[in-house]
Amino acid sequence: MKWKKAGLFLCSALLILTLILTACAPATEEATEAPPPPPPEDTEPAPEPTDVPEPTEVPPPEPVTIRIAFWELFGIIEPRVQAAVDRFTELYPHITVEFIISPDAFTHRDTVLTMMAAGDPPDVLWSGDSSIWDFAYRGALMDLTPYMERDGVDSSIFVPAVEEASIEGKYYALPDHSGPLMVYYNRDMYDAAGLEYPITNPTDEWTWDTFLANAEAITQVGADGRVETFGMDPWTIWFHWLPTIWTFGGDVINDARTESRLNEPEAIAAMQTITDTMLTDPIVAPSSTAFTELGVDLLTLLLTQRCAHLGAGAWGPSLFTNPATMEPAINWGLAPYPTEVVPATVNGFVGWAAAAGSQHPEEAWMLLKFLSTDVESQRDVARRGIGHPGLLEAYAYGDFMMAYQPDTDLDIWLHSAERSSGVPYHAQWTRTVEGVVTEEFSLMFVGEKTVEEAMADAATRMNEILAQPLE
Amino acid sequence: MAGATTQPVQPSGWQKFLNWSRRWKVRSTLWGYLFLTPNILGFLVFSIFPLLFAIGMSFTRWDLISDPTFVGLENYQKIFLDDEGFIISVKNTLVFTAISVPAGTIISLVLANALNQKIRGTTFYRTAYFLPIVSSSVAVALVWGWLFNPDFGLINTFLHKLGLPMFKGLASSATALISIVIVSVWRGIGPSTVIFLAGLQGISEELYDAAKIDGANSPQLFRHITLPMLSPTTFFVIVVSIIGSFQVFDLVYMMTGGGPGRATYVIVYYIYQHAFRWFSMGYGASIAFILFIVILILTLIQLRLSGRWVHY
Repeated sequence: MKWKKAGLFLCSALLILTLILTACAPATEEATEAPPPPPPEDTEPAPEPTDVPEPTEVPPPEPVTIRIAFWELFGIIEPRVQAAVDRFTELYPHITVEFIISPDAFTHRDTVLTMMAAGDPPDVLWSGDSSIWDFAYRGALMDLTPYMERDGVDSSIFVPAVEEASIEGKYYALPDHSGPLMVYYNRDMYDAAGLEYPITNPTDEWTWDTFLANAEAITQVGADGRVETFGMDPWTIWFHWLPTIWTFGGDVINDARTESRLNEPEAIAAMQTITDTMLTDPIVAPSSTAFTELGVDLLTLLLTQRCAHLGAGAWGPSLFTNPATMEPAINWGLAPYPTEVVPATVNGFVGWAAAAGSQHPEEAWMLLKFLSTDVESQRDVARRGIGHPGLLEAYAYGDFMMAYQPDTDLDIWLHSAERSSGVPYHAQWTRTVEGVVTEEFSLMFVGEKTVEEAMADAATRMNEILAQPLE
Repeated sequence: MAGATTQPVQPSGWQKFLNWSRRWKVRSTLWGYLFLTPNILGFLVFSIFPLLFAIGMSFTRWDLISDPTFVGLENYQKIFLDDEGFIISVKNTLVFTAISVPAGTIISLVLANALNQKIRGTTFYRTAYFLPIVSSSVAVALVWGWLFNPDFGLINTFLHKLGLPMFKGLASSATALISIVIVSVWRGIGPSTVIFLAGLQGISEELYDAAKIDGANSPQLFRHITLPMLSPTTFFVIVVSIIGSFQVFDLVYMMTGGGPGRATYVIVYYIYQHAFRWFSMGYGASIAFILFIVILILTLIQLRLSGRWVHY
């Protein structure tokens, strides 16, 4: 009887322990899985069935499940990925693709990083250019170069922005979409103010003087002295001010990417111009706090005709477009980034990468190659208003997310794309430009530090970090 | 003596009881441990193991991706000797705690007293005060961010109409931290109020009746009966509030991102920055361990001092 009780006790304890350990175990099937199947010759669609019987001696590939991680934006990303994955799994029915969807890019980065730290990374991940550098520099991404060479995927089939994912000659991502930072303007507000549109021909440039004069003409101040209608949105995020510094003739970092250039006169002049739009009369942009509530304040301002210009990349139209009907909510037009000394704008890049720790590297490569090189999948990127295709063949179709003057707008876009530059990323980009520099600039944007003070402090703190060894 | 047999000794009634009692005790103990097993395992797996793991990590340099490198006390040396951000985050956390804990405790105590009166709609008020804590941090941060907005915010609209100077709220490094404190206190008063209310309802009416017969007025009743009788509850609320305020993170993350500048950098936000933004998990773990020690010491000090003012 005593042994019976003790046995019952031990069994129960073991059962509980087993349940807990089972619950904590990663949900993978690798332990019992066969090695991945050999790579297909290419990713072209499977040939039409013929009367020739299938060879019976080739065993069917083992089923494999891979995971793809991306973030959502206005509900337009998941349908695009789903459509592409549906076609991919038709070609490769033995591969099942599971989605890991984050609500925004920041959460996506944290999710992926946490999964990597746990040794259970997603196989394929959507990644912004700065994250590609962060991860690739630390060995978290698969070097795609050998796969590209083996399968004949040459980088020349992609937009030049693919080089932003290349570190020391190795490619760590293939482009999903890219695009330059542009200026979107509200045509109705221009008409109401009696202003000419910023450019006449697609290759025209416009200057900062014209841009600021137009913004000022549109800005309306209420009876109480407060600005009610703004000429522009606040250009306080790095992808806004970086091209401004460029067009003023400066840069954020030297060519070797070892020392900050923020304390140089050109950079200071550029940031003074941006800061003045928010703090010095005539104020034409809402203060930086309004931008903190991006998605509420700015969107409301834009959609209620209270902000005339928006500096944005490929995501700009998604702010104005009803995703259900794809109809624009306001009458907007497209202009290049304004020029001061030299024409300049920055090129944003979002790509597909594979985790170095993927248990299914071959299938991960197959999927990311499909997403980046399949023409239909790439055309879908533009049709759904996500951005401009990274694949030149798809780019050439001229699918464009802009509903107003597709031909003209495409030409404006292409002109800007041609003269755009990649972001000077480096291994400490997140900690410097998105970290300490943003902190110092936030004090400048609320007037607590002069532009000179903030730029000097930002340069000093940035240099301190650049001098440290990587973690 | 031949043929003599040894008769087995029959246990007495008392011995039978002792044997039964011993067996029962062993059985009960075993079953007790069995029922505790899930909790003990959960505690070991989800509390003790992460704690030990974090302590181990704090002696490494680890970017979360490649293998960690043992660096001994290097992280701690840097934190104490060469980290301005740590000093700023500690200072901000102390300021946050110094304002939010007394403010939250006093407001909760006052509200609990009000709700303990026989007034109409008490249930409604109790629910209303509790609602903020069950609201999503994101929603709270967005709504308060909107209220504080210097350009569009409701607060400044009222101040403007009254001809009062603008409250810069989250837009100024002078007012950003106090703005977070306001939101934190607003959100935290619900649970504290309910705890105080439970404490108030546990005070015997006889004590008040006796004091009233002796001529005590309301302030005297509060001073000499309510406060001493509530002291265990107050102690609990203060300890929990201090621990909570040292761990403030979500509001800072959502409302200011530590800014403007580093005006709202608090310790846990600084840990998060290092661990998940800057790929310095080892360094972040070192700060986390220091935070653990600080909270432990503060709690022990409070326990020691509680003997002077807490009446059980």
